Amino acid sequence: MTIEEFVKLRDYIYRKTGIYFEEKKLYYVEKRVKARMRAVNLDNFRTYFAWMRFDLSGCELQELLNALTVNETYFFREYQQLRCFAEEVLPEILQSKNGQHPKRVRLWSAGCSTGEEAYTLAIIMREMTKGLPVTWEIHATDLNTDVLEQAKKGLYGGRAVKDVPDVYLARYFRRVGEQFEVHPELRHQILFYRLNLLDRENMRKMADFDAIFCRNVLIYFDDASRREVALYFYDALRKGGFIFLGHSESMSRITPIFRLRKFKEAIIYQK
Amino acid sequence: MKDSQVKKLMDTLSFHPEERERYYAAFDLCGFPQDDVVEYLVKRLGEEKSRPVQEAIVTTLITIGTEAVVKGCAELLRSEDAYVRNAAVEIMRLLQRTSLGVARKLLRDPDPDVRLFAVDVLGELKVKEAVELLRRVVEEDENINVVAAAVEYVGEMGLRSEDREAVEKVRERFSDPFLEYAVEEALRKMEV
Repeated sequence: MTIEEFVKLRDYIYRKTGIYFEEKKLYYVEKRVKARMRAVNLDNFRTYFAWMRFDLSGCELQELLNALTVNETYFFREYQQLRCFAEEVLPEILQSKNGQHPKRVRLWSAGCSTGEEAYTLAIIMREMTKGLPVTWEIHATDLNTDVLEQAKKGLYGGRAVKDVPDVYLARYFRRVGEQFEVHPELRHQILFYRLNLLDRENMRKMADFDAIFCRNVLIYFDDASRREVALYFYDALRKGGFIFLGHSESMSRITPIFRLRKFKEAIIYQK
Repeated sequence: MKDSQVKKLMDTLSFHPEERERYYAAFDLCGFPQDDVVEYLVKRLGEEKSRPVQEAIVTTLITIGTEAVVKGCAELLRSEDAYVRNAAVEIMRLLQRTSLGVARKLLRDPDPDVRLFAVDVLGELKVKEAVELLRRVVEEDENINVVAAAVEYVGEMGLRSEDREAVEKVRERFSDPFLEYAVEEALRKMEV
């Protein structure tokens, strides 16, 4: 793939999704494009690119995006932040709902990939609200339809569950050969669906969330798109709602509209 | 049809009592990148009281990204409101190539505060042409604050021997401990 071809493809993907691949990613992109070309029996980039663009169903673009956006993740990733959610943020959310019966909590795992974060949140919610008059739901979205399919299956290898405390492993997973299957009850409490974070129409429908987890996702966006997504998140949160970013990410560098809250072991942004 | 849609969105953004309605009217105006819309948004940014709505306007201006946006932002650099001035710098930073020419003109503005913002914009651009312009500020500008800011950015981005020489020479034009410190820092960074 020449640099001109890369730029052409990169700009096209950017226009369609807001995801931006820097030039240092040329080999990463090339490898995955070649795999797609092999899959559809095309051996010339120009032909492939033209074919993908004129494929009105959008299927090939989706396949290519699936190949380009697979991220490794695991249960209980960035543990301190999750503990902050469980022990400090969630009680505050529940406190703010005094007078509501039952208290209804809505969480969103944005860019959920293969679902580890969404299931982790489901485990936390079950543990922390046991015996309380609380109902909750978790929305888990991703652009990549392949990872969403995997997430719905809820079947994981040993690496993904390496940080799950033993007691939760026993309580929420079933061993299937070398793999671990998430308890069906947890699976039923999560709504997995495809969502492009830059899809204006659909992002506006996302509303009334108490917390959004969007960890290590915005790094794929350029500055302008990152701003746009952050503002959609702002609108999707209820007043006082929280947004959790990856621990090396900063909302202050994106937009000043969120308030910075310092908790014992984590810094979280709040509407 | 298009005009009536624009008018409706502008009316909503100007007068609707609900913040959320104004917020999305600001977003939706990005579908109409003509100069009169840009002019309106730039003006509205200075008048709007809600920070989220202001941020939506900023996002739309970045998305539109034309020369008219950068020119409008150049005017906002004169605003009394610190948020508005910073937003203008941010927009110009993100509109890199378009901003370069406008920032170059602002370096000749009689107001040193405006020149200082132009230096900030150039310093954030991280492109070769910006470093050259900043070096010229270091060599020629008469205002110590403007020069000190340019020295700082050249220290961060300058890689060539001319950059180093320009920073060293600035001591001959000004004798001031504040500037001396900026020069030392810049030279140290350029050594790394």
